[in-house]
Order: sequence, then structure tokens, then C-alpha cells
Amino acid sequence: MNETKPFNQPVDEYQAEKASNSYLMSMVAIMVGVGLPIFNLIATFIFYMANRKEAYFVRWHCTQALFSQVILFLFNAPAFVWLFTIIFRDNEFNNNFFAYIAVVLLINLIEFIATIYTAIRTRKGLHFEWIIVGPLTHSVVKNKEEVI
Amino acid sequence: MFKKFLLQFFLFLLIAGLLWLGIRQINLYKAARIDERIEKLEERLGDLFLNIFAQQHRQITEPEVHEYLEYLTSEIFQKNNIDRESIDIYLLRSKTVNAFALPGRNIILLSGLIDYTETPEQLIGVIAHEIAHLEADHVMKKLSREVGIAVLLAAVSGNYNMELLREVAKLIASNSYSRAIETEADLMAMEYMINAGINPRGLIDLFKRFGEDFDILPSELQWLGTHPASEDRANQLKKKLEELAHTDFKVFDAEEWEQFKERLENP
Repeated sequence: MNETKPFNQPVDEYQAEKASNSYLMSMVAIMVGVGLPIFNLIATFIFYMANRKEAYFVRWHCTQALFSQVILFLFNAPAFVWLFTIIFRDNEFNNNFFAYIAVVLLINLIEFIATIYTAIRTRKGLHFEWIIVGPLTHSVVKNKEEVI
Repeated sequence: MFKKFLLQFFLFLLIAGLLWLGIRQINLYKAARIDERIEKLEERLGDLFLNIFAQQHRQITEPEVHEYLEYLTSEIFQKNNIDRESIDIYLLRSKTVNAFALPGRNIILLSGLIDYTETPEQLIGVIAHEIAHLEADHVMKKLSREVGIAVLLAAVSGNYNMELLREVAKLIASNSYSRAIETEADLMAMEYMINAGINPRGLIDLFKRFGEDFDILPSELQWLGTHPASEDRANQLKKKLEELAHTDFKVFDAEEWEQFKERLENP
């Protein structure tokens, strides 16, 4: 589903590590036991803000990691709110809810696998572009070196 | 590039939507036997809390007393299509003026409340109110909200702290439902009574009495102790009663009622 495209510029060890860490940030947020959907997003956002002035490769992957979490958040947040209304309001468990949770779990699983895979690839200095967020990242992140 | 993103994103939404529609057909809710599991959880919680209350108060088992209670409430069940067999009513001896619904479709009536009520209609009103809590599933909703599903599951699995369970039991007995939930139960109770041909003024009168007596006997009047203002509830019910069409109401034998109360006083 995703495609690997070579970057024109050479990627050094430092850049590869930074780019890889941008994906690992969301993993860390899950591993420390923060199940709330917003925390993965916050973690990648903080990492993005800290690295937004880095080299193109790092910036590009920090942005892709951030956008992937934004899209995931769009799916996870309604599930969370839905569950909240069931527990704290008068809403009830029903088949619509379970079907939605199944879809959200599947999306999260795909994203989880893709995140690990991309973290490994970028750690080796290889570029890896996701569908949906890849084109969005390209339209936002510009290669300053090339523009000059 | 942005157009490519939009195209892929909408395609992704379309696939996710179709997947959701497809999974809906499987009926995961039924497959996971959620209703069955919740029912079992409720039953086990009900038994657990019944034991706690039974340890604190002596149960009244006199057949005459229960027969009269059956007589009072039978129409409420029949005329409102509520399965009588599914609800257990327990009578416990206590001076506290209280009644409450427990998980597993159980109702506990304390003798202090029966003693406090002046007419059969008032007592039926309280029972109808507790039946409404059960029918609308208020008890489990309240417990899962205030105690948490994890604690409830731990309780039924035997992995619990007795102190914690006693605290939960106190929470149930406190009748601390929200105003909206109480109003819903009040209106349902009134409807049950009208359907059964029983004068719902009994419930209104009881609320008025609670309103008047509450300041005098705060510790004794637990049933209304944490409920919303009883005067307001009485007025709300009165207003609703005027809107509803109703015919003649059933008349209960005053002598039988007095005998019932005497039996409770002198077991």
C-alpha cells in the first residue's frame, strides 16, 4: 500500500535517527499506558515542533508522523466519545458501536504496523511514503535546499 | 499533491464506511452475547448486595405480609406488561425510611418506609418508582458510571474488598440518582399507577409529606434524603396528572391496610 521513494539528498546517521524517532513517539505514548487518543497526537506534535527546522528528511518524516496521528485521531476520537456517552450518559452498547470499534481497531492495527515498519526503514536512512498522508506531507513540506 | 491526498482520503473514507456497513451485518453485539453477559453480571451483583443488606437487617418473610404486597402491586405488573417473575421484592426490618432497587432486578423495601406511608397508594407509588428504576436500567447505569465496570467485574469474580463493596452498597441505598433520572422514574411510576387504575396522588402526597418532614427528620428519611426537592417533584407530577386522562381509581380496604401495617409492627 505504501511506496518507497528515494530522496535526492544523502541522509546521515543523525537525520535517520531523528526521522525514525518521530514515528516511535506515538509508540512511546501507547507504551507508557496512555490510552487516550489525544496523547499520541500530542507526543508527535511536540516532536514535530522540536524538529521543524531540521533537515528536509527529518522535517518530512516528522510531518508524516504527525499527519498520520491526526487522521488516526479523527477515527479514534468519535469512538472514545461514543464509549464515554455509553458509560456516562444514557447511550447504550449496540451493533453500530461494535462495528465502528472493529473498523477503528483495524485502522489502528494497520497504522501500528506501518509505524513500526516506517521507523525501521527511516532508521536505515530510507524514505518511506504512506498513502493519504504522504501526498499531504508533500504538499506541506518543501525542500528549502532545492528551492534555493 | 493535495488533490492526490483528497482523492486518497475520500477513497479511504469510502472503504472504511463500506467496511463498517459490512461488519454491521455480522451483528457483533449478538455474537459477543453482550445482553447475556450483562444479565449474568447483574444477577451476581444483585446476590452480592442482597447478602450485604441481609447481614445488616432481618428479612421479613411472613407470608401474609408478602401476600398483601402482591395484592397491592399485581395490577402494576399486569397492566404495564412487566414480568412479575423477573422482579424480586425483599422486605427488611429497619426504622430507616428507605426503599431502593438493586442490580439483578431486586427491590428492597425497609419496614420504616412502609410504616411511614399512610395509604396503600403511597406505598404502591414508591414500589412503582423503584420498578421504573429497574425497567429503565438506572441501577446498572449508575453503578457503571460511579463505581466503574472494572470494579463491578472484580466484585463478581470474587476478587473484591469487602469494605469497598459495603461502600458501593451504601451508594445504592443512598438513592443518589440525578434529577433527570428521578424525574423519569417519577413519571414512569405515575403512568404505571394510572394504567393499573391506582390513584397516583398517593405518590404526590408522599412527596409532599417528605418535603414537609425532611427538615425535621433528616437522618430517618433516606428515601428522599438525596433525591431532588420533593416539593418540586410533587408539583411536577401534579401538573402531569392534570394532562393525563384517567377514570375512577381502585379503592383499597382501609382495614386490610391497617392490619398489614400492624403485622409489620408486631411480627
